[in-house]
Amino acid sequence: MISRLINTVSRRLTGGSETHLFGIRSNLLERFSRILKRDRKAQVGLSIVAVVSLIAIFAPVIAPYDPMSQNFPVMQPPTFTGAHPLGTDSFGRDLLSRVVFGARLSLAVGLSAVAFGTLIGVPMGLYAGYYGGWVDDLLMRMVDTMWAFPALLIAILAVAIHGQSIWVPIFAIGFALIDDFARITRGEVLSIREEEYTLAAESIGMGKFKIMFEEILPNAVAPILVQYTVSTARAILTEATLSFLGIGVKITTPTWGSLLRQGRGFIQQAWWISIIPGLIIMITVLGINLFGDALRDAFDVKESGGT
Amino acid sequence: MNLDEPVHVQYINWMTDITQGDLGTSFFSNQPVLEMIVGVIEPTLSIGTLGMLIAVSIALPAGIISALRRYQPEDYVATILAFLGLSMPEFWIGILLVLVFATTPIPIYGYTAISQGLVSWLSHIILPAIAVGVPYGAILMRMVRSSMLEVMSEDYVRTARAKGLDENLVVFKHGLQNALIPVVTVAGILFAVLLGGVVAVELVFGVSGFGRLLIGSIQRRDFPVIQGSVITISFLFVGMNLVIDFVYTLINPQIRYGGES
Amino acid sequence: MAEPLLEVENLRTHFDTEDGRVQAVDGISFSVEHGEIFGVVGESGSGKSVTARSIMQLIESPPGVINADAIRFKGEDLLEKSPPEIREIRGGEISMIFQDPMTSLNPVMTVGEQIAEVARHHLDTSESSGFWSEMKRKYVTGASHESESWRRAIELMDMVGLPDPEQRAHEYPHQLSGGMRQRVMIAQALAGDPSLIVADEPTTALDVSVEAQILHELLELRDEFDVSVVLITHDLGVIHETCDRLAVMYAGELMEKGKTGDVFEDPKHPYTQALMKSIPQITDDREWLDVIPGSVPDLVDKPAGCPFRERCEYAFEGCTEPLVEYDVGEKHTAACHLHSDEVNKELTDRPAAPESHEGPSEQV
Repeated sequence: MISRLINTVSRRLTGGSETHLFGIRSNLLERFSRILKRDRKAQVGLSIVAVVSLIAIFAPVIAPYDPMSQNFPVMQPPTFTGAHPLGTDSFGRDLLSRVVFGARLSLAVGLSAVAFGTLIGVPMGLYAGYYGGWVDDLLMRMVDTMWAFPALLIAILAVAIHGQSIWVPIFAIGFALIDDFARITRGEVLSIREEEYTLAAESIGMGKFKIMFEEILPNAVAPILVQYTVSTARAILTEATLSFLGIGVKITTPTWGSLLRQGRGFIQQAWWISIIPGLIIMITVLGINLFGDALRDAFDVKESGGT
Repeated sequence: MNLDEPVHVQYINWMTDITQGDLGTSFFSNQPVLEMIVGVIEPTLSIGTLGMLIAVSIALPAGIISALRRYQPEDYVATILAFLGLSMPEFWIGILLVLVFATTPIPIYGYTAISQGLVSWLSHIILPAIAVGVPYGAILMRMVRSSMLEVMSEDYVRTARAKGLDENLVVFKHGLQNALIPVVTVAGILFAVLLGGVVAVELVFGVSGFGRLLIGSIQRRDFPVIQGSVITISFLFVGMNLVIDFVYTLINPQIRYGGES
Repeated sequence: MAEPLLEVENLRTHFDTEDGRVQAVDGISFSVEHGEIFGVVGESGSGKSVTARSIMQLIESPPGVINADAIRFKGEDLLEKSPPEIREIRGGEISMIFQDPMTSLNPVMTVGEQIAEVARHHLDTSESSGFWSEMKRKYVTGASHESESWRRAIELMDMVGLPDPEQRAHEYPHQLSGGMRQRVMIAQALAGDPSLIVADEPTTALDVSVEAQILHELLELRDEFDVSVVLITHDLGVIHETCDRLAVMYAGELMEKGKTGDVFEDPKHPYTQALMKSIPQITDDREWLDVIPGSVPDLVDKPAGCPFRERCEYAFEGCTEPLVEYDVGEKHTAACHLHSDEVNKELTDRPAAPESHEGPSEQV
C-alpha cells in the first residue's frame, strides 16, 4: 500500500508519462522548477538547504576533529583560519567540528520530529475529513485537545519521566505538530472529496481506503509538503530552545541547541560559543523558510501562519 | 501523601486540592507550590505581555506597509527582516542583546518588581521583551501582509473605491478590520509558542521568573512543582484562548450574530 | 440636441501579464443620453466589465492601463481629472453596482453605515467625512443613528423597497437575503445623488424571481431619481426588458449598437444574429438551439481585423482589415465589412449581406 502511495505521489510530482485515471493538479515539480528559475528567494533557500544537508551527510569527512575530543586549549577565540577556525569551547573542543556534527543531529531531530507529526497527523486528517460524522468529531476533538499541549509542556513531562535523551525533542516537537498536519489535511480533504474525480471514483465502486490513499492523498500533497518544510524550520528552532533549557538532548549530544547551552555560562567571556551555533541555526532556518515560502508560491498554498 | 490509597482516590484527592488552590508542597523547599508560582509569575507575565505588545506593534504597521507597497523596496526590506526575525531562536536574540547592551546603562541582568518603580521595571524587562517579541512580530507581520493582500483584492474594497473614498479610508476603514480577523486567531496560537520563548529568555537575562523555577525544579526532580507549573501553563493557555475568542467575537460580526439568522 | 451625459471615445484598456499584453477593450466608442438605460451585452471575457471599470478608473495599475481619446462626462474629460476630482465623481456623479452583493458589501460594517458614508462624502451634510472623524466613527463611537446621513440611508432603504429599514440598517450583510443585499447596493449607489449608475451584471447572482424585481426597481428609480444607467449583462433577455439602446461587445470590440427594438428586430452583424439565434424562444420548434461554433479568440497579441471572423459563416478576405463602424439604420451601426459600400456593390448578384435573422441558416 505504502509503495503504491509513493508511486502515485512521485508520478504526480514528476509528471511522469503515466497519467492518473482521475488525476488533477499536475506536476508539482515542474511548477517548482519554474519558480526556481526566476525567484531569488527560492534560489537562496534551496542553496542553503543543499549546503547544510551536504555538511550533515558528510560530517565525518568535513569535520577536522572528533567533536568529543577535549585535547585542545580551552576557549580559544575564532581566527577563521588555522587549526581552530571557529575557536574552541570551555572544554577545549573544536567548535567547527561540533557545529558540523551538530548539523547532522539537529537536522535529524528536526526531520524525525516532523515525520512523527506527519505520520500521525495526516492519516488522522484524512480519516476525519473523508468519513465525516462521528469519526470526524472524535478525531478533531482529540486534535483540539492536543493543541493545548505545546512542545514545551510535553518536553517537560517527557524529561521528568524519561530523563534527557535525543528522543525527547523528537517526541515533544512531533507530538505538538500532529494537530497542524491533521487540520491542514482535513481541510484539503474536505474540498477534494467534492471534486469530480473523487465522485467518479466513488461511482465506479472504488473502495474507500483506495480512494483515500490513491485519489485524495496524492492531490493533497502540496499543502502538506509546504507545511512539512515550514515545520522543519520551526522544529530546529524548538529543538534549540528545549536543549538550551536542558529539557532536550543530553548535554553531551552535540546538537546546535546543546552547543548553545554550553555557551550559556560564558556569554561575556567567550561569546563565540553561543553566537556561532546560533548564527548557523539562523542561516539554516532562514534557508528552509525561504525554500518553504517558494514552495508555497509555486503550489499556490495559502499562508496559514501555523506554528 | 496518602500513597497507600488506590490510584483513583489519590486522583480525586488531588483534583479536590487543586480546585481549592492547593497544588501541594515542594519536595525541596517545603513551600506550598501555589505560593512559589505566584511569587515568580510577575516577571514572566511582564516579559510575555510586553513581548506580545512589541510583536504586535512591529507586525501591524510593517505588515500593512508591506502589503500596500507590494514588490517595492519597503516590502523587500520588511520581508527580509521578517525572514531573519523568524529564523532566530528568541533566547539567542537575547544573547545578542546582552552582548550589545553589556556596557550601556540598560540592565542586562535580573528583574525589579513593578511596585518598585515603573522605570526600573521597564528597563529590566525591555531587552527580554524585545528578544521574545522579534520572532513573533516577524511571524505576525507575514500574516498581516498576506491577510491584507487578500482583503485588498476583495470585492468590497473595490466597492469602497467606487464610492469615492480616498485610499486611506479604503485601507483603514474598510480593509483593516477584515484583515485582522485571521491574524487574531494566529496571535492566539502564537502565544503558546511565545511562552516557551519567555522561559528560555529568562535564563539568558537571569530573571527569577516562572521559567527559572520550572527548569530548576526539573533539574531537582521536584515533582509537585513541575506538576503545578504544567497546570499553570495550561491555565494561562486556556485563559489566553478566552481572551482571543472575546477579541475575535468583537471584530467579527458574523460570529457575533451567527445564532440569530 | 443636448450633449450626451457620457461619451466614450476609442477606449482601449489592456493588461500586461506574464503571457503578454491582454487587450481587454480594443477601441470602443459609445455615448449615453440623459435619463437613458444603455445596455452593454457580451459573452464573459468580452470586455464589458473592464469597460465599466475603465469609465470609473477602477482598473488596478499595474497591470492595467486605460487609454482613450476621451471619456467625457457632462462635457468634461474624466481622463484629465486629478485623483481627488475622480473620487468626487465616483459615488457622487457616477456610481456603481456590482455583480455579487454578498462579496461586494463589507461584511464587518452595518448596511446603514455603508450607505450613510456615501451620503457623508458626497452630499452637504453637517458631518465631517475626514479621515480621523471616519476612523473615530468606525472604531470608537460607532455611527451616529441621529445623523443626517443615517436618516438619508434609512430613507433610501425605504425607497428601494427594503422592508423595515430602521431595523435593517443596523444589520450586517450576512443577515440579509441576496435580493435585499442587492437593494442595499442600489441604495448605496443612489446615496450620493449621482447622474449615472453603472450596473455590472446586477442580477446575475440572483434568483430569477428576484432578478425581475430588481430590474423593475431599477426602471422605477430611473424616473424617480432622474439617473441614466449603463447596464452590463450577458443576458439578452435582461437587455430586451430594460434598455433603450444597446451595444454588443465581442472580444473587446463593439460589434453593433442601436435602439433595442431595431437591433432585436433586425440585427445587422453576423455575431448579433448568431447570439439572437442562441436564445430559446417560446415559439421555438427547433430541436436544438443554435450554438456559435468555435470559441472566443485569445486576447493576447490579438491580430488586427474582425475578431469574429474565425467563427463567422460570412467571413471573406476583407475581414482582416481593421474594423470600421458602418451606419446601417437610424442611430444603428454595425462593425462588419459586409456593410461597406464596395462589398454591397460587389455582392448585388450573390446572396447579399445578412439582412435578417432568419436568413443565414436557410441560405446555407
